[in-house]
Amino acid sequence: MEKLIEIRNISFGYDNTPVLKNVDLDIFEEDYILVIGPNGGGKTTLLRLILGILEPWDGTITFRKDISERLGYVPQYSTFNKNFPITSLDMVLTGRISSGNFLRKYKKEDIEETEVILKKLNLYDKRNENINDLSGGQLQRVLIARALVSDPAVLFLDEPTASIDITSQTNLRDFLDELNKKMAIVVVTHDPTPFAQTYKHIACINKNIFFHDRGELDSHALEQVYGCPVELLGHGIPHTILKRH
Amino acid sequence: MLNILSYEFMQNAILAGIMASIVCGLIGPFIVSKKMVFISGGLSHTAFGGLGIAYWLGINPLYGATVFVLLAAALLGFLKEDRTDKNDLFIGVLWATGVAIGIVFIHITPGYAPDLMTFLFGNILTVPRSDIFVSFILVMIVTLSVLIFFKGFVAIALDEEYAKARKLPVRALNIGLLLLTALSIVTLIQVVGIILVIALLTIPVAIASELSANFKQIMVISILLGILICLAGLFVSYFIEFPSGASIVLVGGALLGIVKGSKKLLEIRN
Ligand SMILES: Nc1ncnc2c1ncn2[C@@H]1O[C@H](COP(=O)(O)OP(=O)(O)OP(=O)(O)O)[C@@H](O)[C@H]1O
Ligand SMILES: [Mg+2]
Repeated sequence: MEKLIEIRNISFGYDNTPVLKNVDLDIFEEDYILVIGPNGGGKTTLLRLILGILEPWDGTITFRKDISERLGYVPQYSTFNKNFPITSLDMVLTGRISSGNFLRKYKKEDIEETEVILKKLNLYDKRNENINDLSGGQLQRVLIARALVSDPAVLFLDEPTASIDITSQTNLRDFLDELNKKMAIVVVTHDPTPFAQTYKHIACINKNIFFHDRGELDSHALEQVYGCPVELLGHGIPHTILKRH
Repeated sequence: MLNILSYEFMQNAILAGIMASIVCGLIGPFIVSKKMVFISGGLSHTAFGGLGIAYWLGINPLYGATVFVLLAAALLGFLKEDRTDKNDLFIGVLWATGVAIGIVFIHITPGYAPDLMTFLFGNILTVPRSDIFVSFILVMIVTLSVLIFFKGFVAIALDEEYAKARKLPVRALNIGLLLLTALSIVTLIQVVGIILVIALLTIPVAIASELSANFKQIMVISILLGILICLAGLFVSYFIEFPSGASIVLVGGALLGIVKGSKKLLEIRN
């Protein structure tokens, strides 16, 4: 499998306090990485660095030639402007805008591709509704659709399960499994349970990064996860302190 | 009634109103959705500084105003802080400093500054042909730029963070939008004056937003409403000899009240 993104020795902080220190991470084709860690650990910050929203203080992020603009992003909080009057279709369509085409009008294929994705995500009926009139789960799917219309090679999702019910969580998981055949997936989550069967690597982030293979996690599964000093899997499992890290 | 249209001042007034409405409809929806109303107020008031200096130098005040508003917009764009509270403070400073510079220069210019009131409160009935020509050029620049950069402006107004992730030149687009706001403001100052500019940037958009939830439609409706409001205000001002800027704004305010009110009534009845 080919390497898509190579992150080496990244450090970053807002103002003067460091948030991430010496972070390394490789993302391969067809990878499926879960990113876990305590609140304020720097998970969202890492995604924003990879996506180029922030510039690292130090270190390098290199992309395989063709993919630096093929990154899909589903943000944790709705970063969009709620004041802006726009329909679901137009919102998703903005996912097709890139540095190369923002001066041109949308093409027919932009709209066709958007409609395909809207249908796939069960949003086609809602295409002419204002995004402010959607339910939380529908909005979530609009944001996923916006990330998907750019034909991403890597899809980043920040806390995608936070605002949706169990059925939708299962649907989302199945949907991501399906997508994973075509693209690498990176999911930031506080609750790895829904993804437990499908992920390939797990990264714990708390200023530093700790990276584990799936097998590794299976053997001392909970120990490793709890290595991130926060209640992660929770739900009645006794807290075990980790020896390594 | 129709023969008043043969007066040149009336033709100029109508042209000025239409051009003002075009820039309002093109830029206003961005200003409202991006919450740049206070910024626009600040930019508009810095025009007073340029105006004062132009008086003192004895050149066309419109040129002074244009240069000052553009400079202020560029300054804001380059210094733009990510934190809105700092920005807010800076705009306030710019606003007051602009006005203060204007007052000082008008004070040291010998004689009475006759058009001062015109610039503060606008007088659409006295816009000279030469200024109409300047406005026309400004309107062309604004219209072409909005057409060319439309997708980019929508992207930054809708979701700046996502636009950055899509590698758009977000900073440049923000500065561009500010400069276009500046040019629009200059066009508007002639019609409603420095103090009332923000009314024309917001009222048509506010009414249009009641009627549509689609950004492009809001732009078109705002232009049409702007023309309606400007012309209605203009005739009110001509026939009952009210100050034109204030008449236009009051007509707009009344229309907004009627539209909002009837929507509320409809809601209650259903
Ligand atoms: N825009 C910002 N300006 C200043 N500090 C910030 C900003 N965004 C995040 N931080 C700080 O950086 C640290 C890491 O934040 P980040 O959002 O990356 O954490 P996270 O792991 O995503 O947390 P959560 O699980 O709560 O989403 C936190 O201490 C936070 O306070
Ligand atoms: Mg986060």
